[in-house]
Amino acid sequence: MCLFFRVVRRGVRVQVTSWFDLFHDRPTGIASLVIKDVDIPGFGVVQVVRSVDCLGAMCPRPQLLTMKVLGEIGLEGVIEVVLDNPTAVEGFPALAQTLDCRHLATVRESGCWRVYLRKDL
Amino acid sequence: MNVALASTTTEAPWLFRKSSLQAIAVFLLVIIGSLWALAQDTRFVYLLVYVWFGLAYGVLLQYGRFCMASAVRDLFAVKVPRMAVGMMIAVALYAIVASAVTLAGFSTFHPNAMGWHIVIGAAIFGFGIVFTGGCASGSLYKAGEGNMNSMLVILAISFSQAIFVSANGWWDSLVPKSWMDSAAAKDMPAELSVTQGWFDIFTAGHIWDLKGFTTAGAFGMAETATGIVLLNTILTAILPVAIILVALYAFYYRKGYLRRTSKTNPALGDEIAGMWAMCTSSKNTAIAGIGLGILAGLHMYVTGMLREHYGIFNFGELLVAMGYDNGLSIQSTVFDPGYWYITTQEAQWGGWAMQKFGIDSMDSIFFGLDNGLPNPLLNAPGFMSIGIILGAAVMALARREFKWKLPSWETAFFAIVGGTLMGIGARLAMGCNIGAFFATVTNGDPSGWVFLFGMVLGAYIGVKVFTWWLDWSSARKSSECGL
Repeated sequence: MCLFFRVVRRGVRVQVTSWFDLFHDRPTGIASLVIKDVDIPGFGVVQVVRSVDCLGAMCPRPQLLTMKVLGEIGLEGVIEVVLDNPTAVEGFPALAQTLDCRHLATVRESGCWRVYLRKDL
Repeated sequence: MNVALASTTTEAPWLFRKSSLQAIAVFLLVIIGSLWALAQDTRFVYLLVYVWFGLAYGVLLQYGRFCMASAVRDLFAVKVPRMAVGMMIAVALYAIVASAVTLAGFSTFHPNAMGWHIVIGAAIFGFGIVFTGGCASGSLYKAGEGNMNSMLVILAISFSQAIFVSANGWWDSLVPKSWMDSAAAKDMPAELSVTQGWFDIFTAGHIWDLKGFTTAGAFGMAETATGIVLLNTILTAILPVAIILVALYAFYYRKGYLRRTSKTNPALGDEIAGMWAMCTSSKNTAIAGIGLGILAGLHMYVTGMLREHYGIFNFGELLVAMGYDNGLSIQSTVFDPGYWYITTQEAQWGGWAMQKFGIDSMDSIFFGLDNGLPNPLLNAPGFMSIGIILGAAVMALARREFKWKLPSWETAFFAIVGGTLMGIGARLAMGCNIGAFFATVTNGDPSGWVFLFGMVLGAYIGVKVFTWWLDWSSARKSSECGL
């Protein structure tokens, strides 16, 4: 009897988690660990430590992920957020002020924007 | 916002870009469509007013990336007051213009019934917007930017409302007996079957027993200039806006501002400079707020004038005169608010589509008595929504921000669930953040502030749930990677 319940419980768990896997066919909001040098127009070359891919993401996901990533990096670290949601792009300078970091630049590319933020305090 | 361009190669002039030509093409399409409608019957000018104001709203919403969902959501999610400030600027401007329109005698505004249903509906609506990534108008202009996720939200809002207002079943028995008795005592035509359907009983048995009022009306001064200016505009709109702006500055902006400007002992002048910096921190949003406020007021004026010109109270009368009597309510009316409104016309789209599939909802009060189910080609406020989509598309194409974006399974799921909740919430609260908040507080109806309170409450809970989901799903992802 006990074994039966254990099997059922495991079966349900596997079913539920695989159901949720359906959602992640095209992952949005991946924060990948990268270290690369980027030449930001009007600012110079900076080393980016993290890149947050928010292509296709709806608000407030980009903002919350950015907060999370900024919490994980050290002082003076620069992160890059890749966005294709104009409304989210517009809000990033104001977001930077609140998160105690500096909005270095927003670089427009075809089909997306790259926002660079530096953790200041 | 300073935006740098990545490539240094010389670009084609604005006029010769593909996206600019597409923007011009969409704009020309609206002009040609308007001229065609006028050629059919010049009285279609009444419908075209909705189209063109919608187009202007869409242009401004996209220009300012004006997201009213983020106005309440971002206060909790990321503690950014940017959009809340933009929305308050729009409220103040709309209130001032609305005051002038009311004084001139062209106001088309009707106050909403005040009650608990507003808080509950607005909270459900506020919870929904966190998951959809935009409010009802936000979803329209984002759809114009090519965001298919937002298109799903619009579909969900349309059908959830249409089903919610007309469905009946075992849940009818969940209403209090007093509502049922009151609804039965209203002596409504039998074809409406007001004692069947949860929403019908709720409307006839509860909402109709509540009072809707403007502040001036509550003091018996609705017709006087003092009442309109002092009580409706200043007391109901401008004063709360000022208090909210000061509160936003004190709780969200002041600390960071003083640190950035290295002021340790700020004088009153510094605080005022800080408030000004807060209001102008996003120029696009502030400009859009001013523009939307003024246009929303003018919209009432133009529709009010046209109603006077044609001697009508409702577009339904004009439709009958033009020979279109399909889809009108039993009072020969259609939904025709005369000002910026979003959700009801979307419900009509859903209801109309359902009717074509054989599910008739004309026995509901919402469609059968009040709003009708007109063909979408004759649905004037519906064209305002389409105008918003097209206006946003013109602006997005002109600025090369248009991009077809397919939703992922996760965002699509959120769009449908969130959109459904938004639809249900909007109907319970008798409107969305435009019809039940923006248009009400600016016209002296305090029920809008109750709506805002409910929406903030719902958004707060929504943000908590959304953050939990994000943490849970990313923890799952990282544990999978660790295996």
